[in-house]
Amino acid sequence: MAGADDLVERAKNGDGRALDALLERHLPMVYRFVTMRLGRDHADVDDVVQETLIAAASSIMSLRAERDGAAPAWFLTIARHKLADHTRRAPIRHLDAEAVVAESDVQQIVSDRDRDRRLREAMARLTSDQEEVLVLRFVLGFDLDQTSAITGRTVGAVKALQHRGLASLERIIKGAGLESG
Amino acid sequence: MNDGLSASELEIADRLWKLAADAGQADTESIMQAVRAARLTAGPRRQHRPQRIVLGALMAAALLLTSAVGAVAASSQALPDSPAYTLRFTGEQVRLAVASPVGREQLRIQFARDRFHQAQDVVSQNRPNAKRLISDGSDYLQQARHEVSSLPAGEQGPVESQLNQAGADQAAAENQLNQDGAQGQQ
Repeated sequence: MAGADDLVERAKNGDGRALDALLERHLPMVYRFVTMRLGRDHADVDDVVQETLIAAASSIMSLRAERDGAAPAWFLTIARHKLADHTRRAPIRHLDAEAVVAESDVQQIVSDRDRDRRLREAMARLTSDQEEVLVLRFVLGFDLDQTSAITGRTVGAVKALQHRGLASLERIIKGAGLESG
Repeated sequence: MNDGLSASELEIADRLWKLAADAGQADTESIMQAVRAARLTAGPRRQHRPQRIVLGALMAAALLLTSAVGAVAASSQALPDSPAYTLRFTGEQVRLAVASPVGREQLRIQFARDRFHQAQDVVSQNRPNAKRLISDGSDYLQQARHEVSSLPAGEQGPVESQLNQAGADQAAAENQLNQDGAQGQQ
């Protein structure tokens, strides 16, 4: 399998297959990131992911992939911009839960959705550094070395931010009565 | 991922993981299909639109093409200095968008060869048209050369063969263009 930096170079040289492979490789990460921000069943998830990848394809020449982790960081930056665009232009809309599930499940779905919303709000109260590390580590599933490469921080700094972020999140959750259950 | 985490930290990590969803196979395919369609219908650095808009544009272009059969027939041979040349490009992009991977490269080669042959026909009457036809045909050919290595191994051979034939057509067209230029200077 070609490395990400090799794909980037080939994509920049007009290799459509390499560009496709690069986009497809980062799609799962972008998708998780967008669902984390919008909600798992938000109706606009696919549109925002598409817009992110299309923007990435059209601005591939601006991607500098000399260092490890540059490509994921670049894709996530584009996704953040697209999410911001989406927030500005679109009213909040979710799939109509009652329309797609049995009535007996509706209460559980609403409860889960509310718990997720409050967890997102708790995340938003972290420092941006802590939030970034927690998202990379526990939402997107990057390991310590990858997170270090993406953020440009040492592994030790990532661990410290992770520890402080989790502690802060635990305090916020307990303070707001968000314990799991 | 769980290195050195306490039980309560692990619980939060688990809840964070569940905050997001994984893209299913169908999601991945539909998103990538829309992204490819958008790339084919728009040049680099242009503002792109989401799937439904892009597909809408494609369908509108297809409808326009099919509802004006005469115009399409005419545009398929349109020369670069004609307004119909844009329609010719649009029609080609629609055909590329719906083709299979192998079919797409064969179409690119066909579009290239059509231009090389056409350039030879018009070079004596309209040299700028011939130059543009050769240039655009060469672009198609270059795209096909880039893509051929990504095709399934068993399907690369026939496409390579067509590429070679198209390369010969390209050389012939460029040769004729150069000869025409030399005659013009005498």
